[in-house]
Amino acid sequence: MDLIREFFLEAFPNPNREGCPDEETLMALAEGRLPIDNPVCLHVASCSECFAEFTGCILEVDAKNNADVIKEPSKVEYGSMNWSGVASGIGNEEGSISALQRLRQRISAYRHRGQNQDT
Amino acid sequence: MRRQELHLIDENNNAISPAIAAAVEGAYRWAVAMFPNIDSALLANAAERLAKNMESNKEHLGSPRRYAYAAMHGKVRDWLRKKAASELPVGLNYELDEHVKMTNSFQDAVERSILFQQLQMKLSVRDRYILILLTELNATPRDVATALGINYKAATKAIERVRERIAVCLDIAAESPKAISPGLSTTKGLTKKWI
Repeated sequence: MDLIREFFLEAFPNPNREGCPDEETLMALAEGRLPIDNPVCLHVASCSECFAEFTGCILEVDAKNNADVIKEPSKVEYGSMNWSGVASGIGNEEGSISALQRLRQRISAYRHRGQNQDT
Repeated sequence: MRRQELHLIDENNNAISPAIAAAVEGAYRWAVAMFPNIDSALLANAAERLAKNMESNKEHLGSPRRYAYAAMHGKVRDWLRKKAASELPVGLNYELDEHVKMTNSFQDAVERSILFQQLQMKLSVRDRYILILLTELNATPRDVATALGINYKAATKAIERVRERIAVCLDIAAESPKAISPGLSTTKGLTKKWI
């Protein structure tokens, strides 16, 4: 598993689910229906249980999108958009630029989100 | 890869309620995706037992979905813990296990724990927020800028700083005295792979 995902899954246990948003909110975040600066995202970064549910929501959304859209033959696997890929750019001067470019390429291949509305 | 079907029935061999079935199937698929090194048949078995238990206690369940994810995660954790305790590396097993990414020794757990402690100390809530945005929400630096209320240049710098902090944590975990053991290659490999 991606180590960063493992970190989020293990490092912030919240068994009593204190301050957790409801399932619908997490699903809305995964579907991109919430603005990216929504505080729920901040909570997901500090609650292992919500992170687990949130990643599950993303999987469900992707499964739904892939079922709807069959025009892309080379489906990018879940997990390919991980921090390892971004972090692999560390170590040289142009690392940040190339990592960001890779990030953008992967994003366009991985999921088309409401970004088009802004630009 | 073909999706594995779950056989979800209650104690009387009747089909379980759709809400519980959907919750368990979602949690099962999540576990398969998040823990690809665990045999999916084991996870399917755990999911089917979970569904049976949930169906028999459905009056007491608040949210089936929330319960299913928490229970599935707990089962995976238990399995990983028990596996580490019950298996003894003999001969080439360590190399073989490492090759198929199945090594889950005490030493690995210690190394991971050190790394996670370092990450917790070094990464602020803001840094973790950036990580979630980038890795899970596929955010662009522009999105990060919007989320943090800063300009594009500052966002790229913030992303770079997060990466640098992670790199520092990986170095600290790799150089920890506790990690010096025959299995150090795991840590070194990890560091190389990540940096």
